[in-house]
Amino acid sequence: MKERNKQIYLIGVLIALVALGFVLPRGARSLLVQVMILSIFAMGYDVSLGFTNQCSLGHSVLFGAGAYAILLPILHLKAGLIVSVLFCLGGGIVFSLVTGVIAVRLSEAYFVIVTAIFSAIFHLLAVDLTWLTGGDDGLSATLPALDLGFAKWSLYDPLVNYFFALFFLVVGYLVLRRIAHSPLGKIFLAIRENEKRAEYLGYHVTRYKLIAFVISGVFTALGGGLYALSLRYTTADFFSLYWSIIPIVWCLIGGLGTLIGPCLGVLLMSLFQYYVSAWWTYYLIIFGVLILFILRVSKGGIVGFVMSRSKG
Amino acid sequence: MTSQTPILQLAGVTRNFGGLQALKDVSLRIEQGDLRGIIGPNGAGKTTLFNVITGEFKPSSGKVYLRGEDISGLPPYTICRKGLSRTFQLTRIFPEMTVYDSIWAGANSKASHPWNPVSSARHLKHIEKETLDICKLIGLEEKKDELAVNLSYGDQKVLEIAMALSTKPSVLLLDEPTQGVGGKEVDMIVEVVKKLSEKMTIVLIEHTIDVVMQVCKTVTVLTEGHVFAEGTPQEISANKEVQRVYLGEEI
Repeated sequence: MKERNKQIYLIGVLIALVALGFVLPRGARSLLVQVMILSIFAMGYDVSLGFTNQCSLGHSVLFGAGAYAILLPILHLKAGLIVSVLFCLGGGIVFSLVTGVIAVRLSEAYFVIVTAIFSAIFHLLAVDLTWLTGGDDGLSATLPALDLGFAKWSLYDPLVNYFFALFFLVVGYLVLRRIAHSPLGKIFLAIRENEKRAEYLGYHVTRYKLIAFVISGVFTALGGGLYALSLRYTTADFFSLYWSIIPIVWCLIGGLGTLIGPCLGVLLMSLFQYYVSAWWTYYLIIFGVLILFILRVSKGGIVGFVMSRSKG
Repeated sequence: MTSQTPILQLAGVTRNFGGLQALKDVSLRIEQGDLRGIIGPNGAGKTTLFNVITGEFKPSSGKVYLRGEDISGLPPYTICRKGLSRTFQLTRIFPEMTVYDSIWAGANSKASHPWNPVSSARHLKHIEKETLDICKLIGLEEKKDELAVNLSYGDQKVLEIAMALSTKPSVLLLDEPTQGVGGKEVDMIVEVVKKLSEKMTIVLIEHTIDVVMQVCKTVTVLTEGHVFAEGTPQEISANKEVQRVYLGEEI
């Protein structure tokens, strides 16, 4: 019954999102596009921190890799959109495998430090390798049309852009939700709850942590790629530590391990950045206080708060 | 009986921690169906013995055999998959998971595709059945939807055993299952151990001598990392040396 309620809400949200695409004014619509894209990143990060308790500071590497993996094929190979999205997913797999293989075997604090070091190294590399990345100036690209064979759409049409992002958000959510409810998802939770015990139940914990890290990495890269597409631009700055810390904030205020929560976190933070920053430059101070307040009231973030209310 | 391969055997196992020798040349033979009690004063190396058998530590020298197969130095998850499971002295449970899900996690590890990312976990009937069977066997049926963290300490100890059972072990190592548990719950746990011993080989570390004498078929006394005496409970309690070094302090 409760599960059904949740489904009804989600379908309601989906219908609202579709409707909003048509009725919102231009500025608000492009804000919502950003929220949807960053939500994919946030959900991906949730797989790492929320599902398996791996507090990575290296996700900026995956975010940046995704951004470049999508634009570079467009720039240099004249690749179509679908191909470049595949490059982006592949880039996510490769980068999360390479960093994950080293990082996931480390225990908590060392994991955090090593992933932060990855972030620093790749940021420096990206700034330095200007022939490839454009450095701080970045690269801009002219996007090819989305060619599905039977139809051709231009992403420069704001409506197409909107539904392009919505499509990936919905698919991404469904895939991750499926995983969360599958045996694999249950193993992730067991590892989050007590790694040692999970190992003594017969699970190769390091391997499962790597699987979680790669799934997380793929969605992070997708988020980065779509973000770059929406800006038609990518910069070395996408590798900076900012993009490693911000998803932690999203997940914490929204509710760890809930998938929906991190999306709410993105929404809240983006609204703040967009509206409050207009009248006060130091809006982050208010936001910081807000985070403290939310976590003081409910350790499970917004979703945790709603769940505990609906139960009691 | 001695001609048969023992289900669990230790041959000259030594384990050093720096200069400290926690286990000195320990040899044990545990036959199929045995319920072996391991007793000894604090620091005798009982838990270290479990840690070496289950793969937490590698033996510094010596071998551990499970059904004649050398398992020394294998990682814990491999040893678990070979049918050797354990509980922990200080409970290691999944606090924010329900009793059902905790046991489910163990039952799933022996499924053909434990890492299945596609099916809904709720729809895997055979794992559901195994999980419910264990809940019933161990007496946690009514509490199966409670979060582990909300259980009484005694029930958490039982859940520990249930989780160890969920991987379908042929040898079960129990590390002080009644420690810190109140009177009535001790009886409950003793009943559970007795019931399980009909189905599998059990090695039990226990501080309460009454419990050991009551349930165990054979007893090994460990002091300062080596095997001091071995025999039936009657032989051990009649052994003057054992009384002097160990039982004497207790009685």
